[in-house]
Amino acid sequence: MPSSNWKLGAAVLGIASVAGGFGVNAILNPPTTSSTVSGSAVEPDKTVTSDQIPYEYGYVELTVTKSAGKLSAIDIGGSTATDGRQQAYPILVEEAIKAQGSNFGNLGGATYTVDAFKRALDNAIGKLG
Amino acid sequence: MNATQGKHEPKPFEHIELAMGTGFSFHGRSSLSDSDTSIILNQACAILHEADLIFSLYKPESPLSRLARGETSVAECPPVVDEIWQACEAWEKTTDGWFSAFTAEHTFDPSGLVKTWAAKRAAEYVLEQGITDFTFNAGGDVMIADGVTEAIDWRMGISKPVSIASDGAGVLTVVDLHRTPFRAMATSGSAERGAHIWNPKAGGREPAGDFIQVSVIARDLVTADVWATAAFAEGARAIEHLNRIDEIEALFVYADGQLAATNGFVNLFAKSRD
Repeated sequence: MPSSNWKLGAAVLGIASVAGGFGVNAILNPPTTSSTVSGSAVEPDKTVTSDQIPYEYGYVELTVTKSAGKLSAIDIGGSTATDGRQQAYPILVEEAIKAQGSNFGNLGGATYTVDAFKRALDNAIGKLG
Repeated sequence: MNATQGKHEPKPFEHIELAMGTGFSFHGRSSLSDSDTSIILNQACAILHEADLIFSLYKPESPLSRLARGETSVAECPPVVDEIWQACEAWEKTTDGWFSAFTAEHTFDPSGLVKTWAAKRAAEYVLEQGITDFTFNAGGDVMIADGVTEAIDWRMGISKPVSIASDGAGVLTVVDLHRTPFRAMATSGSAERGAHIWNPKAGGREPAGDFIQVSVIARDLVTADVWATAAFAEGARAIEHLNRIDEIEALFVYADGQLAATNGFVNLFAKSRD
């Protein structure tokens, strides 16, 4: 039993990585925003705020912190959006897409039913051949 | 045999359990013997089944069904019913009324809390028994134990807002909770079970409509779950609301697919591909 469970676990991950694809890409057509991040001197624990970069729904203003030469925090709190679309920022979409390719141990989502869970397993097992 | 102590090299384990109408899965590494590990995980799952017997509104003879029909009182129910009742009332206050376990018909329906409450209990039991390197996926709500050793287990995918059983299923994005105070993520949405979250503040309790999915990251599973439900019900204003709550981050998907998030969420996106 434990060994077959292992396969099921792998299968669940299988679905996740196989599918990829549409979704976030279609959401926004972001202007470049991250270029304002670089260019400051290599000093530890430095915090800078970007210019206000306009985009589709308002403007983005990032406050970034650099520690030991590496970007350690990004705060998008200074940004605005019109149309009631608060904080739907290109940076968010960009980062979300970049992160899409990471491997992960668990897939979270809205509570699935046993039925959906079983069908997803079948689907993934099918893809594994 | 590994000599005297009953301790072994950590061995991977995976345990899948169907309970409460969904799938639960423990995944991790244990230094205990296979049989001890298996006994512990089965005991943990017994906690889930017991909660289901007490709280299911699908089972006509469950204490909660009898309570809903007015055939019994909270005082006559198992003590855990009162515990959940109190917890629901406290959460209703904490969320300014956006999480509510009281239906339009004024009956008590704590199903929104019971699953993660029981899951949290089950995970705590596993920890108490000495297994500390594991993750626990409770039907899409995920918690990570402090002792997790594999980098991949600190990373969690968030499903696209479509059913995991559909052709379009896949990963919206991936978060990494390593070196953060967060240990849990819960997601509310209409992708799996249709519109089942109602606006507790609307007269007719029409479904909340702004978002199709809200994922909340918090220190523990119940907190994440309650806020995900509350934010889904509150709609677009929940973004600012959640920004004012400490130790919570959230990713929102609008009905048209656009993304929004709390201020600190952007720091949680996974960066490693390993």
